Amino acid sequence: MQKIIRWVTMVLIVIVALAPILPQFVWSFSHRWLFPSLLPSEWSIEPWEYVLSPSSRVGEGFANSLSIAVVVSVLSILVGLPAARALALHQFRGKVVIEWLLMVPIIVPGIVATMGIHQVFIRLHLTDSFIGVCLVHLIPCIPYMVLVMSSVFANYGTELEDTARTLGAGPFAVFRFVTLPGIFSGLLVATMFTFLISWGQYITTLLIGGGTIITLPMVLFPFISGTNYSNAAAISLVFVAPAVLVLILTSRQLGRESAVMGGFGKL
Amino acid sequence: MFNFKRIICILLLTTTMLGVAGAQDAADELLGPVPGFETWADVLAAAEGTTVNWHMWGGSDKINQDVDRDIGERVQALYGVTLNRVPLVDTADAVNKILDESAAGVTTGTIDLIWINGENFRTLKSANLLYGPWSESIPNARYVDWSDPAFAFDFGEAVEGYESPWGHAQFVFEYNTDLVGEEPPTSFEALAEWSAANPGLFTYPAIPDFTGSVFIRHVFYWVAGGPEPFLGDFDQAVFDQYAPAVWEYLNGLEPNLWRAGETYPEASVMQDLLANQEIAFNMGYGPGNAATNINEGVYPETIRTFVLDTGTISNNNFVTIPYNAPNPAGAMIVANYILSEEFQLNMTNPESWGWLSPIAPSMYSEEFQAAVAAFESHPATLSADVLNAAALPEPPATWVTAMEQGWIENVLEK
Repeated sequence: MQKIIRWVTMVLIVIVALAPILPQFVWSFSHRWLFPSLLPSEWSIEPWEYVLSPSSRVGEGFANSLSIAVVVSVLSILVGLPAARALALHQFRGKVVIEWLLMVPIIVPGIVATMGIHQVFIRLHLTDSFIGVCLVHLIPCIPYMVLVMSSVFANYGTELEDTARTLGAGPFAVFRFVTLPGIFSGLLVATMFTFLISWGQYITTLLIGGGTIITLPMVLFPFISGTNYSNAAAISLVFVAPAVLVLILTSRQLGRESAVMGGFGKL
Repeated sequence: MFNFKRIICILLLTTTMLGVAGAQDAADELLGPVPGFETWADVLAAAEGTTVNWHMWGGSDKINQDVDRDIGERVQALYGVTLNRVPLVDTADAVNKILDESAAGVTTGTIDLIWINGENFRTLKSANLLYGPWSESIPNARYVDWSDPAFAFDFGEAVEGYESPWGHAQFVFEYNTDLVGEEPPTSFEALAEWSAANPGLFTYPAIPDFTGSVFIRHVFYWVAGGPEPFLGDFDQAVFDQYAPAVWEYLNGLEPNLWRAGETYPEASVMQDLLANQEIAFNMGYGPGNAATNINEGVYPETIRTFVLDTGTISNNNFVTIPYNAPNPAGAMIVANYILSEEFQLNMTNPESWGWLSPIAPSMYSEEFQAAVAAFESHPATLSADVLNAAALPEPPATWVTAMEQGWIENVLEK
């Protein structure tokens, strides 16, 4: 009985998650799809031909978006993991202020912050470069990494690390065999967040990249503001593909250790 | 005199035909000074092997592909200039970037060329953030009649050599023949009658929407019997003389609008409403928009366009070079190529670009004029003659602001 319920739930989740993508899929093969037709009256592979043509710059955008998102994810872990651990496990003066400051990039409208950041980056000669774009993506990404990981660390006891240390494990061994397995599922969720936030950045990429770094949102968003849904649908399918892929890959991990998800309650 | 001109023409033609590809440029000379370069040959030499970053709205696959193929590949072949088209959601994004860079004192930015007009041009020009003057000096500026107000002014802002012509826009109405028939209402009187007989099928975008604002300007022109009263500086007495009749007309129209005028759609939404037969009319600055949308499957085949008997507003759009463009030479070469006969032929060909050119065909060779005359336009596109005959000028921005404010107070809030 329980098995049946689990299956039904899973199927429902898949339907809810994927149903909105289905019309996109149909749109991307349609040439004319007008009310009141239930299905397109004319079909075409032109949107996909456009996606594959060099003019669409989808391939270039995909490669740039992917490499930026990977670099940003790695940097987020390097910066966010120690910060999250310190915030969750230690008490110190000014902790509330730091927690609050970490939230600021989520609260302040992106465009306001980005204008100021642009000025600073210009002075630091970070504009119009790959690394500049990665750094500006870090700003909205780090809060999510810290938020998720500090709640993970809040539910995480350091006793096992102490035990390992008394048994002679070095710092690396403790991290590799005790800390990492303990936080792995949470880290996966946090990395997924940062990856997707970087993946969806538009205005920051445009301002800091100055058009020298073309990413997928930069080729997709003009079509959403335009009228040709077929092209927008085809490019947006390319756009959501990594998200769906990441979700499928990580859902197995998360399903196994659902206890980690319980930690979200803290902040 | 005539013979003298003829001899020069023959000389020019001979020099053109003497050489291969690049030789055509040997005859090209700067018509006046441009900052940083002595001769056109200097410009060509400085630009060879460089990249031009052209920031432009990127929401049309057709325009994107057309630009890459018919401008990008050509300037590469002719001048060794690589065109990097940077797609924008909104031209203001590029303008903001330049404003930021100027605030931070950046002398070398990344934007070489921007597709621009109106408010965005005014912002950059009034802040002294443009390279130039240059546009009256590039060789093909000889095809532009700079004394024509359509080139000398961009929404009331003096161009003064800071931007070069690119496209031409004219306001047209689109209608669905399935709902309206073959004879659309081409006057404001007829439109009111038609809406009364067929309520819910006409609407226009609300202010501050750009398209809605233009629609209201047309009502003002109609009430005043022409655009003349609104072309000078703003005059409150003139405004008060005509405005009540405008509000009366629009308020009379309101109950018969889509959703009884309780809400007004955005311009981009009106396209969807027309495509899906929820309304019978759309309007906008693109005379070729209906044809493009039919070809792309966005519109049904039954959409056609018309202009008002009293005329419709037209304007030009331009390309401009920011003050900190890393490659002004390359940018000028692209702007110059846009005005070339070769490209203009592509641009005006309905089977290629299908754009209206801002330049009159008579500025080019007789072969060119013959070719343009032979083009057959899409059935949904009006002929250049019909459009030109109906063309009306834009009023200065001060008038536009007053009309928009008046609409909000007297139509929206009534």
